[in-house]
Amino acid sequence: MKRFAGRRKGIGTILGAGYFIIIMLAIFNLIMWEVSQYDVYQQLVDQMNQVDQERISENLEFIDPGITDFGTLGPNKCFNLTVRNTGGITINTARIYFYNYSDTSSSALKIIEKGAAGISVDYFTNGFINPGESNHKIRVVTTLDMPKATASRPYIIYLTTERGRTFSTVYPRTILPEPGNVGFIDIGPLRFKFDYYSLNYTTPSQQSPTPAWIISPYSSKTAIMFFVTVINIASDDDITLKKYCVFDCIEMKATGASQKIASFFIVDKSSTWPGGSTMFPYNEANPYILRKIPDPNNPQRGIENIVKFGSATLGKADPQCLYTGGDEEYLYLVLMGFYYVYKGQNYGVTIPFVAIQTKPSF
Amino acid sequence: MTRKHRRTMLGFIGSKRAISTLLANVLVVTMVVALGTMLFIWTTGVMGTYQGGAGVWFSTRGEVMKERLAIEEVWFTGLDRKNITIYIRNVGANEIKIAAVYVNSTQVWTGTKTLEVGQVDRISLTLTTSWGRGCVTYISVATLRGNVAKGYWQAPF
Repeated sequence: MKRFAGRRKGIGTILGAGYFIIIMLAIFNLIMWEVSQYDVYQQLVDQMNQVDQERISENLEFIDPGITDFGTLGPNKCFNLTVRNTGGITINTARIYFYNYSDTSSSALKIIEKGAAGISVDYFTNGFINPGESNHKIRVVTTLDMPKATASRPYIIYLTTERGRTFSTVYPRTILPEPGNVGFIDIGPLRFKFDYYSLNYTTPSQQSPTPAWIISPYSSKTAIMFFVTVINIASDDDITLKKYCVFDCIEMKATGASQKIASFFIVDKSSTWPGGSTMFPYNEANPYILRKIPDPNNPQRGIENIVKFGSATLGKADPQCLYTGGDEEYLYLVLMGFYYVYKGQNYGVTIPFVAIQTKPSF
Repeated sequence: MTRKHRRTMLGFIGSKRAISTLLANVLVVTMVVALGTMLFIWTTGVMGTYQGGAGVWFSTRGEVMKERLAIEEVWFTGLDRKNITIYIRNVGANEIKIAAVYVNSTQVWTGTKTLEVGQVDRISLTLTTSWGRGCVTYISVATLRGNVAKGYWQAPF
């Protein structure tokens, strides 16, 4: 100390060293702070990754026929939803949605909540499903009359979990048969359905789609629009329909309508029935896009699309009528021309479709 | 003062070169103090700015990371087929503020709807044009922090 005090040099060095140490300590402190912040962040990332992993681990299957043990509970109906937990983690059911797919009214969707005090209807119990548990029954108490559901007017059931997964099934279940069986015709990547509700029509007096196998009542010069169900069965690309798509009705009688052909060109997908403000010309800038099969392994296969025909003129929305010679029965053979773009190439096919008839009265 | 020191002081006063040495020492010390202080202030400022930015980044990323939302159900409804109701559940670890809903990449709803953790709520949309029967619709829901939940839903026939 004495030697230090006696020295004439060194004060600047000491001060500089002091500053240096302070600055180095501050930098060290900053690095330590950043390391701790990063550690906290990384812990959060790991925690959320764990949450995501748990969510992905959830897997649920609905066991055929989906709903069993129908009964009543006071004024309400009850049934069991039978499921199997094929995932690696316990599933906690959060909600069940019953969606009447053929109904667009305000009563089409029924929400079933967890059973709790104060809820006397539209609730479920036994919503915890352990891993590996098979034939697990979720008891549902509701006002829905599920036995009345039919294959053509099905319900879609969505079961949602606390972790945010949604599992769905259709009730009653329908598995589409493979190509070539009764019910379909496949031409190229296009599949046309032949069930009772796959072909519909509307007129100014019949504004909601109705099966078109027998159009009754139908009077002369009534504008009509047809709805055809089409599925893209390709798994590699979507199909875009062109404006030349046409629905040709060939009249069968040699008299009256004189075997004339009434051509109904494709109209916009927002069209509803053949009227001035309800039928719109087909615009290739806003085309029908038939989506490819989302999952080729899914037996439900492709996505159904409704393609609408109703215009007498290509690319316009002029109402068209079936040719009739008078108010009597007429028969028509229907051929369809489908022009489309698939994998960037233009295609066109003729579809031997259906045979329909009209009647002047019920 | 010791004898040795007294002699040094006297020698210093008597020396002709002593003043420049003293001044040099004072100057060096002053410069070291000034430069050191400036460096310290600058370093503190730079580190403060960096620390502030990094803190905001970690905080923001952490909040975003904790968000998880699930679109449970999409309900196509309305007599004129212009309504869609979306049920959204907050399955994350943080409160969510929904900022916008897009249907087929077009914004149809904007606002702020808060969802607490575990809460489910619905957003009712009114479209300008009717949804097409059987049409596949692309719906995405965006939160205020920038997370998006999206998917395809098919309208009923």
